[in-house]
Amino acid sequence: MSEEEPIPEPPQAEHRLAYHKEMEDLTNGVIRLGAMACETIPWGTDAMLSGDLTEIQKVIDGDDEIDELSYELEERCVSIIARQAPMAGELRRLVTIVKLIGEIERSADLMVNVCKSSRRLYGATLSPHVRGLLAAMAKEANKLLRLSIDAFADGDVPLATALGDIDDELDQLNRDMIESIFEANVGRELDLGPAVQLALIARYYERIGDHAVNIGERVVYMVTGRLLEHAYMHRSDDTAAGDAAPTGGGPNIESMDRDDSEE
Amino acid sequence: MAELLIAVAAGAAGVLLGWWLGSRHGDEDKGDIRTGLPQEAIGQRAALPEPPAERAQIRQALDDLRLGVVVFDADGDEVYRNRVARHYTTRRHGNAIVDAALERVVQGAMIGLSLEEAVELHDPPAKSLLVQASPTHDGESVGGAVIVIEDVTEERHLERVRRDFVANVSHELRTPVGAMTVLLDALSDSDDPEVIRRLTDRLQQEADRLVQTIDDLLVLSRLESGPIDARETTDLASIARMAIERVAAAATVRSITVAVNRTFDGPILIDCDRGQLVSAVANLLENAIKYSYEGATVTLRLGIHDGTVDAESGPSDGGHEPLAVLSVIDSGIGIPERDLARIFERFYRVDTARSRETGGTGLGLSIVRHAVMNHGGTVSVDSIEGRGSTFTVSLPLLPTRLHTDRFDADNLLSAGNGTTTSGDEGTMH
Repeated sequence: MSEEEPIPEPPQAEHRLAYHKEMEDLTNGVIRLGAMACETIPWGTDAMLSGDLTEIQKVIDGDDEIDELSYELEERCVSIIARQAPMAGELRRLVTIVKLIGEIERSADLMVNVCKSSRRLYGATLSPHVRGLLAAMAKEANKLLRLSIDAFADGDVPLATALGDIDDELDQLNRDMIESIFEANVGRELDLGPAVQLALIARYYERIGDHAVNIGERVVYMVTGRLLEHAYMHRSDDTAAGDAAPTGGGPNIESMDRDDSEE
Repeated sequence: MAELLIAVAAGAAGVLLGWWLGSRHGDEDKGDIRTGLPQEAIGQRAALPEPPAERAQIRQALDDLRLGVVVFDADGDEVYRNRVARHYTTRRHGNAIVDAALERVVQGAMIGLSLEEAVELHDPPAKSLLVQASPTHDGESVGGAVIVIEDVTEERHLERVRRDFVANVSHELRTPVGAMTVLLDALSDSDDPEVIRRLTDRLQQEADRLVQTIDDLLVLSRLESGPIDARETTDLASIARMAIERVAAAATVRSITVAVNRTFDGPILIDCDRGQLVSAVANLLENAIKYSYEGATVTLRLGIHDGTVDAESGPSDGGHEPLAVLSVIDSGIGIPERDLARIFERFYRVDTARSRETGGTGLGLSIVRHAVMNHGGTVSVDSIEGRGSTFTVSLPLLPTRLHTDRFDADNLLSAGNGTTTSGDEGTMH
């Protein structure tokens, strides 16, 4: 098969190529969806911190586009599964993508929630400390979601597994925020209404981080076929019960991981 | 100007597309099979015959453009991308969004529409892009499309600065005048001496404010008008001392301690207009005091920076020039990230409501920046809202003379100090 005389591809190979193209487009679609969701984080946060109601509305309206793309991608997944009967790695990839679409779409919804809450915050004066915490949480949430998309795009298992630990920073910021809200309440600086909204907003950012961690787990599954879910469920139970310092997830996850592989 | 550039780019890209289409037909005659391969379009170019010199020139010219140019053929397949447009090929994060816009305008161009889409990227650093598509014609039908991607971030920024400046300057001048009109009105209606005294006090305040704003504007325009004439060799420490003296009263009122932290023991010599720099440093200190919590400490750090020591914070390009560095560090309210890039603009206010309480003309940091720029230096800011700010002034240090001319160095420096920059890293940090 010298380069001068390429032979025509047999129909089956052409079919494979079209299928490959379809899979690649789908992957790019998920990356695009991820990019759109990531964008809403600094966008919505800026709008909130500057109290710009027009921008806030734009972020909320922009979510329709994200929803639309996520439905479209999901449909494409289903169609590929139905038509191509993919196996092994490819099936895992498609199942992962279906899951990822949900996680990403939900992350963008959480930013819509942030925006809606920030409308209810309108007029309240936030202390620079609280504003700084909000900006820091947004930055962390954005970083996590971006990294999770990177992990998916590159099939990067070490990065995907590291997301859980990176998320600890965001959890810590959430605790700091709750503490600041209590302090502000003691000092009579914050009314109950805005205080509740602030706690919710902090929670929304924290949830975005959790979705990013979920995406990481799914990416590990996509590449290796192993699910880390149980290990993390165990860990989040710990933190929920203790809500003190985060339990050092590392060794815990590893042992559960081994259990999983034995099943 | 931009329109012209786009027209030129589109024209050149059109020529290229024509050439590409032509050569493709030629290839097809020879029976080249190229359909069905995903994303092969760019690689396919390698298989084409070498373009004549003229085409190579066009290609080079397109690569040198500051606009992104992407060419599509009649099938909607990408056939060319210039250097700037290749930045957007990673299809990741922001680029994925640019890609989506590109896809949409190409679809329009394929049915003969010239579309334009503005893309706002919010992920820092925020960017504004304009993606424009024009169909190219092959006789009657659409023969492909040329997409131009233009980064309009800087333009948008300048537009905003200009717009805000006019609004802000009018506001800053109008507010005290407005207040004075109302006060005068009240004054003419009042007989009570107590009320009259209070009103005239307020009138005085507003007049002072107006005078202060105009004075600052004059200072700024003097600083902008050109280089300084009265330069003298001065130790940065003496400038710091004078600046601290100037703000001592304000610091005492708010029980704030101004601490000096020297990271370099020898004299830090710079060539400067002392008055200008003292006001600049005093201005930074005043801000630090104003925006700190009562009882806090403001730190003034003095040192030198040899470009070779710390690549991260040092001058980025080729600058091994040693710098005199002065930082004003506070642990006050800090500055929101989105405002950081704009606080050196004239009349820019982070929080308009708060600035009325704290006073100031909104010109302080512009004055600082211009004074430092007049000395060939830079001023930068680093801040986390709620945790405090650090303003850093870097000025060219005098050691070029100390380095090259030992006699001069010996004359300038008292014995035993180590301002020669080599081998002093240990004392700097």
